[in-house]
Amino acid sequence: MTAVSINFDRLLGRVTGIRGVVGAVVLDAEDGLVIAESILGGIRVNAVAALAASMYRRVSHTTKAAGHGPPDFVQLQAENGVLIALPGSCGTILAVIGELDLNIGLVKIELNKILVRQ
Amino acid sequence: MNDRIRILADELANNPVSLCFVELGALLRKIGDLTGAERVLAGGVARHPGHVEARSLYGEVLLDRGKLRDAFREWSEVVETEPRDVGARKGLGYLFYKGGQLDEALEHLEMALSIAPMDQQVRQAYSRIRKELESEETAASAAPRGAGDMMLADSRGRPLTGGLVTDGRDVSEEVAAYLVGVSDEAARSARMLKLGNWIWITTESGNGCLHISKPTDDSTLVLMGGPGVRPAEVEMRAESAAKTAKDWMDDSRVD
Repeated sequence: MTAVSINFDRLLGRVTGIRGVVGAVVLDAEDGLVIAESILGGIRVNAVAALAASMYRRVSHTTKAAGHGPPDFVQLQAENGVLIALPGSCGTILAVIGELDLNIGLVKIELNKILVRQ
Repeated sequence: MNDRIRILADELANNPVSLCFVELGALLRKIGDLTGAERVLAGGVARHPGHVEARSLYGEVLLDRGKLRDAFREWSEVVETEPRDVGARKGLGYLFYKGGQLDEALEHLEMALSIAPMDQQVRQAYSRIRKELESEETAASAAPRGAGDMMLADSRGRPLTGGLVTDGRDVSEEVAAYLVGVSDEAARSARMLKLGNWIWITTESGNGCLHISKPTDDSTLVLMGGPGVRPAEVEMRAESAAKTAKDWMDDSRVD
């Protein structure tokens, strides 16, 4: 584990400390590989990373077509939870998986703190 | 009642300018003799054009007889003379309601309520029309529009109704084409992460936000908010729009 990923782990730990957050991952936007993660429970971190990367990429095509440029924030709302993805620096994506009652506003604040420190 | 009608009819025959025509007209209406009531009241009103109560009652009889235009004319003249006549206000409220002019109907009923706040009939009518007006406004704000910020696309990447315009450019077809991939990916991600079915996706960027949902299995709805529009606001509009879109899809299907 590198110093960078250790730093990420600490920052991600703050996100997973928010009530309703099941896990947070920093991943490579291109290939969806995991750079750092803080996942609770039995979720497969590689699956979260790959799906978040793919999701973000697909949504980016749509927002660009709409003239909005790449998204700063993507939220997939499902029946039993949410998946959030937003771009970090150097081609990374931050992904968060959470429960239904997740405080989206709080997650945004914490994720933005990570982005500032990246 | 019939005796009273006979007495009043005799009195009116002997004295055509008697004001008993009002009571006679009301009683004839009560027993269902609308033709007789109309005849008596028409004669009385012609002789006493300033008798507001009689004219208001005459309007009701005209309405009973299906003569809506005449009733409208009568009540309109009544409120010009006596703006606080509750009967005429109620009547005009009803006629405007029947004509689909809910704003005008509400205006007359509001006036009637200000005069007779405990009138249950007016209160009920007012409440019903107000609700209808609100749901109309909701539907209008949620309905897919010709172009601009809302579009319904099919499951093969084609716009169905509405449209998206950014900086004067129609981006509907491009967005619709990419929506299929988004929808498929959302379904796959939600399933694999055991999140259940996906409900919607919202995106934010410097130039605005998008809200994507699936009103039906074979359609995708997109709402677009420009810079400064809050995503939560778009999300609220999207909920109503999805219901409208579902109805639209159901209505559009050929059985």
